Amino acid sequence: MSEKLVNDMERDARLEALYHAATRDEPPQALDDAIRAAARRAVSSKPRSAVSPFSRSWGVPVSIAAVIVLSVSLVVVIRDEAPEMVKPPRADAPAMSAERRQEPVASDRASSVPEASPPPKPKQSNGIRLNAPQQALRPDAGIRDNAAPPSATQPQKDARAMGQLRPAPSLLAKRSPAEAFPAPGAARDKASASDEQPSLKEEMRRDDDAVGEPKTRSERNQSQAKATPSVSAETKTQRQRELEADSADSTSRARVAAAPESKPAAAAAAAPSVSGTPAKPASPAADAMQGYVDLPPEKWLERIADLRKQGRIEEAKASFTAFRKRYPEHPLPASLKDWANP
Amino acid sequence: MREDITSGDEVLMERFRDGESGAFDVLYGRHKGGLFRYMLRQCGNRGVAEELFQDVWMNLIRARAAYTVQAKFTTYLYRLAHNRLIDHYRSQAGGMPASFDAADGPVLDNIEAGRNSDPAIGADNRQQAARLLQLIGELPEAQREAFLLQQESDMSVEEIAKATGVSRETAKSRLRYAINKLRLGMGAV
Repeated sequence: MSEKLVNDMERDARLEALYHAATRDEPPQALDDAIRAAARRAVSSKPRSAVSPFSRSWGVPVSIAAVIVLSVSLVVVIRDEAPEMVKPPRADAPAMSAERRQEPVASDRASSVPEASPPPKPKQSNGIRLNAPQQALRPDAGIRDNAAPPSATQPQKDARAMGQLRPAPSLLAKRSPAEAFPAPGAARDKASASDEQPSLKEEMRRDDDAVGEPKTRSERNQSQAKATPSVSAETKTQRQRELEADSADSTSRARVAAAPESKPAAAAAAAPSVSGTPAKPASPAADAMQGYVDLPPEKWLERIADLRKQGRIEEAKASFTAFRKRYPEHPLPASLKDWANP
Repeated sequence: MREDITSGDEVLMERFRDGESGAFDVLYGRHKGGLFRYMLRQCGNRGVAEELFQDVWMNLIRARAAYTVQAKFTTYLYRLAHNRLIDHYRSQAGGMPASFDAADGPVLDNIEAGRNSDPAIGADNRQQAARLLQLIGELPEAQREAFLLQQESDMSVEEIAKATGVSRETAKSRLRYAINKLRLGMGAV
């Protein structure tokens, strides 16, 4: 398509002539005047500019000053409020934290086994709580605790073994060393008292029913050993330790007391006993001493009573004589007092 | 007030922006007729045309501070006029005319048939002129606008496209369609 044709397509002279010949309409004069006046007013008023002169010259300094003022005021405010914002450590925080530690343990204690044994000492009312988690594990836990110095970690091991919650270390720490590790004699005395652990009492009752009311401690222990075959090796080990500890004490005393009379016999008797195989006694006295020299006094007396019951009077008397020589001042049970004053 | 008729429209507008009211007067004098007729031919009502006309000039006065020379002054002025006209259409019950959205129809068909190369005008110029104005009034808004912009401001196709916010091809199509329709209509006369 030629350029002329294109131009002709986009323009038409005739049409343009006709259009321009048509009425040439114009705006009214009043409108003209109004528009011109508006233009003059716009020009004569303060010149508008996209950026005012004030902004151009003072904009940056004012902005900087505003930022500085805001920053300083913010710093001052924060500094004043800092002591309040930073809370000092509360004075009772350690106590609170300790209480908080105790609370879950207490709640656990509440759900512990009802047969949980009370503490050996009555005054350990707080100790009930302390001891309970350790003892609320197994019915025979009290035996161990009373029979031997309980190890600090043993109850915890039991707890873990039983799947129970273990007591807080702080609870153990609160117990005095004397309470945590009572002397063997003290433990024994406590155990023999009326405040004996119910679990032990129950077992004893059970054992009595089963065996026939053994009265002596050794019989009870033996019956318990029979009736409760589930007693762990640890318990037996504890008992053995106790016996050994007692015998160690008594042995030293016995050696000192009976040294002039029965030393050879004792040595002869002790040697085989140490070796583990009792030697044949050479005399009734030696026979009486055989096996008893290492026993604590109470047990020795029990053995003597047993011999007497069994009808082995001669042996019993011999043993009693040896006992009196060794422990002249030791109190005698009622069953043997008649032999003391024949 | 110095009337500088030799200065271009863009310079005058810059001088008006910088605070010279006389430059505005010159500009106003140059373009008030064409803008008024543009508005009058579009809306068909003199009162409305005067209102729209005044609005366009007031907008220009208010926006003078931001004026920069990016195109011809007439393109800038008729861009303001086009926008004001579109706002007027939208405020009407009929809404935006469809001719502004619809693709332009076949413009080049039978261009030869409608072409009248004889510039001689008939005996009654005024009658033909009136007929032409009538035909212009019957054109679709978009095509009519294109024709008027060409006639009143002597804009090229590209300038018409810028002023109306359409592509060059669209502007060309609209213009050709308008001319063809007018030719056909005038040819029947």
